Amino acid sequence: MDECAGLESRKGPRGPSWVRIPPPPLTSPPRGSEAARRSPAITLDGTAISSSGPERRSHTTAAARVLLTVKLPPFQVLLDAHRADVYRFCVAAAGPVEADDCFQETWIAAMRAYPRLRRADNLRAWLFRIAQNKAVDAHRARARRPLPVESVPERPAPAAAASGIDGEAELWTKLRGLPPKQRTAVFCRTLLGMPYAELALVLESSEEAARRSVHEGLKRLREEYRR
Amino acid sequence: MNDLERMLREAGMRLPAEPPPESGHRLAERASAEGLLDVAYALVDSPLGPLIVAATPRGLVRVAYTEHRSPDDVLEDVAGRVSPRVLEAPARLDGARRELEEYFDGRRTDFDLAIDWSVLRGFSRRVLRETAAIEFGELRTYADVAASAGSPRAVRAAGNALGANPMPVVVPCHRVVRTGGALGGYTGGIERKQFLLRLEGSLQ
Repeated sequence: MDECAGLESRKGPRGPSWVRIPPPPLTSPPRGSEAARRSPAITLDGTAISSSGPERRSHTTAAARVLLTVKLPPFQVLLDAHRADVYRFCVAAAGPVEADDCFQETWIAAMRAYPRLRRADNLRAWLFRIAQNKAVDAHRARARRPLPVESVPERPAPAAAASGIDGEAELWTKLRGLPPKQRTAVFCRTLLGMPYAELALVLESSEEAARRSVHEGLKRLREEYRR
Repeated sequence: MNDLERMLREAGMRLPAEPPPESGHRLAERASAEGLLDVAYALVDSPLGPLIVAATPRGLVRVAYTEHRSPDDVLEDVAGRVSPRVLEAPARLDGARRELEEYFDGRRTDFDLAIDWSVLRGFSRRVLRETAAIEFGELRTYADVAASAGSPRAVRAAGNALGANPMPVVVPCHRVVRTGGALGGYTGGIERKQFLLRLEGSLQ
């Protein structure tokens, strides 16, 4: 399972762009967490440990020592710090009806993988990566359902009511129509102000590709409105 | 261009930030059912201030006063010693909460709670297990406890183990005093030890 992998196990060859990624600013670090206190050096050490090649070997032992002592904050601290943003993401990306399921699935998957995480320096990115996958699952589940889409009302449930005004419901519907990566990119960038380096971790892409996803997503939304 | 982004930001602020109220409970229950909830905790009011009470599926692992040490600090310590999969799940601690309430009300003299001893090792564990057997209203000395834990001369080590008792009140380290009658120290401060001993009628 994707979310079982820590941030250290990105797929594909690791380009130098990864190494150059500055430590993502912890815009909302879990309060008092180790993640908040730890020096950014861990990011680079963490990179060193998963890259191969003799020139890296000397760092690996030191990095392994650091990683073995990585202290994960109590899960509740993580939940408290990111509950609201993750829930908003679920409402926006999976829709008000599926939001709570998406939310539950995200945190359960996170909890399952949590003790095996080797890095605690950007837990928000890790959480949003999981949430993105769960939103995709929610879309698939809805698509598989025999009901025609029209008969699933945007329920005037509290969630839908709070997302308010008709124009806004339309906006979120359009956002949900974007490809998953663009959807996530637009949400994380415009609503959370997430730095591109962090967004790249969420999308498992380069920083450049993260930038492109935001751009493409916004462009597509704009075109939708012009239609 | 920026209009769309502004629109998103503003609409985003109106998105509900709170999942349905029962969501937290559902999450904890599901985590528990799937064997993911390694440590459940709750905050419990007591005459000695709020207590953090935490348990693994095997039993109680932690009771802590929250005045000298913040709840976050206690939770971080638990995460490090037991598991980082720690969630607030009051329903998982109903038994402990009820028994503590009864004890502080003077309606209970004996805790009937499972205790998870696995986080304690060696001499500390033996000392605390012996301490757990001291009954309501009784007093022992540090020397007594050291002896019954198998090392009569390790009085100071017994004192240290009691000072680091992770489950005060339930494992009644307050019932251990100095030879000669002085009260000795207490994790939560001497006034708490006095309170507990008065509650049990061991101190006027």
